[in-house]
Order: sequence, then structure tokens, then C-alpha cells
Amino acid sequence: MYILIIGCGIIGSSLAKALVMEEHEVLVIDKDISRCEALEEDLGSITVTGDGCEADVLSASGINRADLIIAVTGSDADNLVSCQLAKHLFNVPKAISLINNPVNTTLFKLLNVEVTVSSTDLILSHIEEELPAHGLVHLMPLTGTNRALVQIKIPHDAKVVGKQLKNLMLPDDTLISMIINETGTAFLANDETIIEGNGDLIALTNTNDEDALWETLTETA
Amino acid sequence: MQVLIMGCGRIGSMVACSLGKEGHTVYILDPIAEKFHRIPEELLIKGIIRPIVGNGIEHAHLRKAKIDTADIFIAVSGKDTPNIFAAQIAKHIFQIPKVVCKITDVSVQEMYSQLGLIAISPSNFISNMLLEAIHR
Repeated sequence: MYILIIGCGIIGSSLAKALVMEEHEVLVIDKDISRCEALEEDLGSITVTGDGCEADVLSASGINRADLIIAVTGSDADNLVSCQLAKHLFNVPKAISLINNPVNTTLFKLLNVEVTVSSTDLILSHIEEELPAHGLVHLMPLTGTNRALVQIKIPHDAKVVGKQLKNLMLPDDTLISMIINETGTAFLANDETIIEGNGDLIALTNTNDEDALWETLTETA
Repeated sequence: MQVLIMGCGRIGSMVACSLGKEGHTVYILDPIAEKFHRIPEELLIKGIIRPIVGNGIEHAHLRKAKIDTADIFIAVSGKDTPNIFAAQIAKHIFQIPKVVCKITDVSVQEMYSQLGLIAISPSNFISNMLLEAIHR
């Protein structure tokens, strides 16, 4: 599939990484050039710096042949307009939007934009704050696919601490896309990435495998 | 009638003054308080134009500007995206009978017109005026 992602923050870049690993063609659009450059360091030229609410920018990004658009910026207004342009101006078959402020859910539903409410408000703006007791947060369910982007907190004494990602026994359908270390620095993960205690890990996983994934990553010695 | 205008730029302030002078009660919303200097003091003192500092894409700020009882909503901030978002909140959530929205990009304006918004593109309007002036 050709997938357009609007927004290159933590969610946008984690999604991009996971979807590229699944061999989809991905393009990420963001206004902020430094965010685009950070993602390109890892994934090559898959970004466009520009406003994903502008018809010209979308058009130049080949939106006409996109199968799916996912809008995950921190602005609900931007997300809605990107999805509406995609659906109504460019006939993209499917548009999914992240909602940052739950108060906007009704509007998105009335306008037939598929939504996914996330705890991002809580998580992205206060990434250093403690996650809930269970330590697994849904950043974004991918509607209609049975899968979700989740964030898991790694205990300091977890068995997986110090191991490389390629040496973990993870559920089949799971892709670890990003690591956030104790100090809050986020970076994209690869096979050689080493898991750190007290950090967070962002993964795309099958919702049925969530518990198994959580157990593997949080089991202590 | 009660009007709510989003954006106190050149257009917003002009429309506010005209509607105020026609006898309407006008609430005008802008995140930057200094913009309200565009409104003549006389209209502010008489309570004909009521400035509210706030952002039109926030439900709470719209309520502060009495959107619940507004008859007309006009989105004329400097940017298309917030105008479109606020206009759709006004139309679909608060069910304001008449919603007008400024959208600069002509292709986007046409699309939202088809979706039922009263959308006006200054680029379209100005180029028509220019052509008319040239051909006169």
C-alpha cells in the first residue's frame, strides 16, 4: 500500500518505521524540517517538509495514488482538514485521524472521518511522567486492522534490559519501532538497539498479542 | 441578530463594524488582544461590539463568546485551517443557522462549498475584480 502520514512526531515516526518494516510505501509530511531530517537519518528520503493541510503539498506528494492517509499531528484542526482534503478532493479510499482533544470526537464522527482517540495528550506532552500501573498505553489503534501502536514502560530490573532487539522473543506480528530512554530522548529502533531500563518502547502489535508482549518486556529477573 | 466573528484582522474588524452599525450584536473572537484596537472605541463602549480574547477552534472559547445563542458565525482569521475547523464546529456541533467561512485556496474553497459550508475565497474574488478592472 501507499500510505501518507501527516505529522512526524513520536507517533508519526513510529508508525512510519513500523509500516516501512512491513514493506509499505510510506511518505511522511511535516511542517518542521528538523523532524523530517531526524526521520530521514534512519529511513532515507521518505519525508516532505510542508503543510499537510495544503492541497498543493498533498498533490505534490502523490496523494492521488495513496491507499490510506493517517493524520497524527498535535493539532485536531490540521488532522481533520488533511483527512477531508484526502477524502473529498483526492478520493483517498481511507482516512484515519488522531484526536488530541476528546471534545472533538463528535465533530470528526459527524464528518465521517475515522478516528482514533489516544491518550497522547497525556503521554506526548508529559512523556517524562509515569505511565499507569499496567505500563501499557494505547497510543493509537489502527481502526479496521486489529492492530495498535502501543507504548510500554520497561522496568529497571526487567529481564530484557541490556538485550538487543533481535534477541527478544516477541509475538509474531509485533514490530518495535521506537525507543524513548530515561531522559526522554526518542530514537528509532533497529535490530541492534539495546533495551534500557526505565525507558519506554513503542511498538505496533496485534491487539490479541498485547498481553504477551507486555509480559515479555516487563518480566523481572 | 447575534453574530460571532472569529478573527479581528482587517476583514473581521470591518465586518464587525458594519454589522454593529446595522444594529446587530457582535461578539468578536481573537487570540491576540491588541487586534481589538481596530474596533472604534465608541462601538466597544456601547456594547455593540464585544471583544473576547480566545481561539475559535476551542469549544470553551466559543462558548465564552456566546456561540450557543448566535444566529450567524463568520470565520475570517488569517489562516484557512482554523477557519475551516471552527466553521464546521459552529455548523455541526452548535448548529448555527448561518455559517460563513473564508478559505483562500480556491480548490479547497470549492470542495467545502460542496460539503455545505458557505465558503468564500478572497483569491477568487480579487482576481475577478482585477480582470474586471482591466477589461473595463
